[in-house]
Amino acid sequence: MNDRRTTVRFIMSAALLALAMIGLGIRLALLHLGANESIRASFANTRRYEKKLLAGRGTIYDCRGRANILALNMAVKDVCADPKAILATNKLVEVSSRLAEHLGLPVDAIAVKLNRPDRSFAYVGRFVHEDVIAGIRAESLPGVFFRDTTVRYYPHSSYMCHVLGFVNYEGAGSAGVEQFLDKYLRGSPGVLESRVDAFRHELYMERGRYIPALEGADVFLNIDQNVQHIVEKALDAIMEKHKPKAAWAIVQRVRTGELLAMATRPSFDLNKFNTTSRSAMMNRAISVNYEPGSTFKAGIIAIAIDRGTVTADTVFYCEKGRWPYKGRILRDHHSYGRLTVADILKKSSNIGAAKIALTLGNKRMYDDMVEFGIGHRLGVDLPGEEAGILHSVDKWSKISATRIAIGQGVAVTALQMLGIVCTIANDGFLMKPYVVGSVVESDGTVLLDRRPEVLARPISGETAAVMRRLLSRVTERGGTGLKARVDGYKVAGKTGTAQKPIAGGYSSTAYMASFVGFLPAEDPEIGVIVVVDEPRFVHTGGAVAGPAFSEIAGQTVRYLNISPVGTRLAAAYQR
Amino acid sequence: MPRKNKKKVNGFAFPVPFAGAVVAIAVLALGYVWLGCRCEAIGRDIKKLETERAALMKKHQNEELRWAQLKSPRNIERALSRHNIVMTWPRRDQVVRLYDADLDQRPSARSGGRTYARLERSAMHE
Repeated sequence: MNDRRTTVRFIMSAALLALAMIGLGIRLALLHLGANESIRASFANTRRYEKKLLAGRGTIYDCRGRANILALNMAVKDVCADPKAILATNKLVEVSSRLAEHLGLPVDAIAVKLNRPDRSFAYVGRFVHEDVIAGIRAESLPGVFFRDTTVRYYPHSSYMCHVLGFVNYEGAGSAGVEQFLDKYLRGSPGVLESRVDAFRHELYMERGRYIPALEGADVFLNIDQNVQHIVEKALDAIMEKHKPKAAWAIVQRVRTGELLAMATRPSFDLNKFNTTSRSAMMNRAISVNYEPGSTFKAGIIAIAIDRGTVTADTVFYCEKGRWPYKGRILRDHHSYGRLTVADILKKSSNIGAAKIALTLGNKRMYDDMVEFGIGHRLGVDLPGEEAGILHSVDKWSKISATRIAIGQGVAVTALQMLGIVCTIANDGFLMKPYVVGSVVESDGTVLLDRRPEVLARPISGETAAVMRRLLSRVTERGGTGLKARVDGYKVAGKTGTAQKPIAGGYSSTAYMASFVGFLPAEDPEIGVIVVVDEPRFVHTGGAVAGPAFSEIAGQTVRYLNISPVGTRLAAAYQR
Repeated sequence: MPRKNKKKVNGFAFPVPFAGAVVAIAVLALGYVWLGCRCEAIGRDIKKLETERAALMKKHQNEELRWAQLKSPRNIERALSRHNIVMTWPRRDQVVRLYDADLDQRPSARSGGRTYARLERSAMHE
């Protein structure tokens, strides 16, 4: 009897268990094999993980290679908050004040952002450095979290700001090299598709698609950060002493056209570009057309000597400082009588230069100025280069040639003016100026390798040699460029003091003071131009720009170890 | 007639080959599960290393930035002035250029005697 009851109980229990197992089995089968696409899809969606892998922008270095960084990407974080969660904890005031202290922002500005019960996301601080993040993290503030991001950072702040340019918040280069080489620098984003577990950790084995980000290529400039520093300091000294509207300077290698430094004042902090005025962002060294004044005489006299219409010893009568010509009067600063071409250049006689220009004829003069690069861009690898202004010869008046000879009625950029003088220094070859040396991908592939390029040869080597001798007299006693001298080196150059044009004529109070030159005079290595816009108190090129030229050139030749007789002649001495 | 001793078998005798197959399948299944777990663990390690690598790269970038700022000319000048160190370029008469000594043809030199660097004052320094 008992055995029977036990058997029945056993059979019933087994039957119940079997029923349960069968039920589960049927349910499993229905779930896996049935039409449950929506359920399966919702599960898959919660586990899906997609991430766009941001490409790092390439780094910009100076001419010393990877030793000197000029621009790089920095890993930073955005400080974010969940206003709803913060308000739920009733800690709005505490969280706002702690965040304000760490981020250096006003408390009430943060409180306004967080006091939004309808929102679950708000940016509190953008692009915050890791050091600050560590401090905020240590506070364990409720509702505060972080997002990884990168920001473009410039370690030297305002140095070479106009050459480097900056990257806007959309990641596009917006000025300078950043803009010009944006397609090389920016790289390509990657993608990661995978699945996550219940803890939102990626399941590596479930990784479906992985395309790594392609990092941007690195750019190596010809700019030398130490030469740039020398130039920046000299411009700061000018701004301090003469209080001009603006000042700019360029240093260039004569033989190759490489730009070693380019600076403009006013400048701006590249890391705070969003608060900078448009005026401060202008690279005046290539974007401002100005009337060069007497510096232009170097080009005109070079053309005349090359064409054979004059020689260095040809004598002109300089009308004792006042010359009526075709109904207009041309004046000199001093009363000169008879001067040779050499002395016309040394003493910067306007009348002498005008008469030299008249020996050329308008057409020849125009053609040769175009050959020198006036009136069109030199093709420097920076955005915003102006072409200068040279009216076509059929638009010239009866006196245009005389005015252009003294640097009026024609406009150039500082780069073009330096190009003229460097052509004289370089045996008559006009070299293309360039800032970028090479562009190299992260795997070492060279994408771009710039080489020196000859644009034209406006004058012969013999003419250039004569002009070098003549220009070196400008910095001798009796010349206008005495203050541009460099101790131990022979400097060749030209001063310029140009009245600025105003409606109906020229200003008697506003001037452009400049000095352009090269050294060592016998075997030039570097050319330098300094331009000062509306200096106060003193306005002549020799007094304002000359000392700055001396400072820049003097330090640069010592830094670059250029011997006083130039590298080629020094090597000859050693043999 | 002899009595047949029937051997009465109580219970169910599990066949040995079938048991062997079950054991083999069990071992394979366990092995499969172990491999799966191992792959998962390696995947987690890879993920962890990727995260560490990303963090190290960020740290490297920040250190590069710090180094670039430290050795910028402006910063070096500030440091020099903080320590009252004044540096100027030398005058031209303070610069002496030394050239590599040419091979000295004197017998003492050929026999391994001491030679000295040749000092030249070229005209450019006068």
